[in-house]
Amino acid sequence: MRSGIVYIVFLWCASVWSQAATESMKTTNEQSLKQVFAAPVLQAYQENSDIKIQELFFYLQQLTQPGLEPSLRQEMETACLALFVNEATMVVDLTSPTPTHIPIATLLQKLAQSAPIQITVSERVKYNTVTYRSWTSGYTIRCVQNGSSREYAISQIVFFQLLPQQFGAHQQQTYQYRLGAMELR
Amino acid sequence: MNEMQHFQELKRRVLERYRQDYPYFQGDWKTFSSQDILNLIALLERECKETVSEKWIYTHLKPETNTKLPRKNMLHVLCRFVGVSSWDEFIFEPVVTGSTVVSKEETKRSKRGYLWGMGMGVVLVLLAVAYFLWPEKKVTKMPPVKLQNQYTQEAVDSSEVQVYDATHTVGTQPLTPQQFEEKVREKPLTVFVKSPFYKDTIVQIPPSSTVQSPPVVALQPDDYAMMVKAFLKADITDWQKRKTQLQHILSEDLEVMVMLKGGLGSEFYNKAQFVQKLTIPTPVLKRWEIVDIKNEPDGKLKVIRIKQE
Repeated sequence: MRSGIVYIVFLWCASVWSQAATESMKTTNEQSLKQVFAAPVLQAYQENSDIKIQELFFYLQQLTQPGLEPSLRQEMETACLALFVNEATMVVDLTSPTPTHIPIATLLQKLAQSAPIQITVSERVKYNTVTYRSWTSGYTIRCVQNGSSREYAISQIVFFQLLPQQFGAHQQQTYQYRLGAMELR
Repeated sequence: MNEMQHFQELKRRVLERYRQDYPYFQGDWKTFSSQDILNLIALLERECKETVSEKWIYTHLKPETNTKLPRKNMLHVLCRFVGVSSWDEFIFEPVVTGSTVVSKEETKRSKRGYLWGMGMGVVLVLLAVAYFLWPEKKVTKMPPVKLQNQYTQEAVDSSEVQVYDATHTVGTQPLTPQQFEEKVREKPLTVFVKSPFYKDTIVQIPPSSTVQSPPVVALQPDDYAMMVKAFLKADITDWQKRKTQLQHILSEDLEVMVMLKGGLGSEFYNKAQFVQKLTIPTPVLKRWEIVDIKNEPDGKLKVIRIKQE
């Protein structure tokens, strides 16, 4: 009986130790980007991600221009979607007077029916919450539509991770940016 | 001076201002090349946050004489570029009167002029002192050769070219203008000329002491590289044509490396991503500068290295 209890306690301890070891391995494999890159290098990559955000709003503004030919609209929509993790990524609905979130694919459809919007992105961007594959960029955008203006303080996840990239016949792992969900601050 | 004469003066000042950023440009509006036009557009965008089209520059700035004055808002942009707040200020000529009685405003203005004069005097004295104290070896001179495009005969932007000593074997470090000048002073020098936009060229330069005028080195342009360079400055027009041309001139194995500011990191693009980027150009592309290109045997571009400002 006593040896049975000792055996059970031993098994439980082994199980707990094994779980702890697995967790430890996971965190080692998934190091924060702060551990992977030296501070100035990570900062350079973060600042470079501002370009993706500027490009996104450049495309969105262009997509509200009247008389845009369908083939050009499609080309721009493809370029815009290529910036995101996927089409279902939630973004702020720039066409709505009340702040709401919709998937980026839906926003692109709504922009085709929208009056022209003039979008300005703030130059000052803050980076927070660095994880093993992303950070959060905080910025402000100003939209002017039909003479009235709206401002949105946005925080958006920017994914930055090693992904396979195809160069003709050969493939290699490179760090790539993908824009994630937006939230209103 | 009438308004048209003022405009000619403004054009002259625009060229002067352009030379501050591109000192190797020594021509006038007549010799202002298509590349210079693209450079000027980028400069105006950077300095004045205004976009000026190529067509506008061809219509109003390139001609030696103008029959019509451009729109005033464009004149304002050029004035701001040369450091004057507006066209009105640029054409303002104070009325000279014989009277000794001067208004309060005039007194203020002449006081300001006096202060300006004093300031300028101090600056000139400082410049003269700096000139005599500055070590002579730091004074740079233009290399004694003329680089030009083999087909258009236009001067080649020297910042896009690297020159290596190839007397015995090709050197590992490009020559600085001073090194080049010293090496070619008394003896002939074989040089290897390398540029992302021109085919590699090996040429022998005669000693500068034996020639009257700088020898001309003609460089054969790499058409595909030139096209990509032009596409980086393009706007949305002709996007379909551009897309088709890019598909044709880029290798399937294309690898584009964009080096981030300060060389602290890099971003990679494959052919599809690069074509998409250049098909719908965003303002970001204006900050890209091609620094190296490698070709396939058939001339298609295989590797493009870009510096991002």
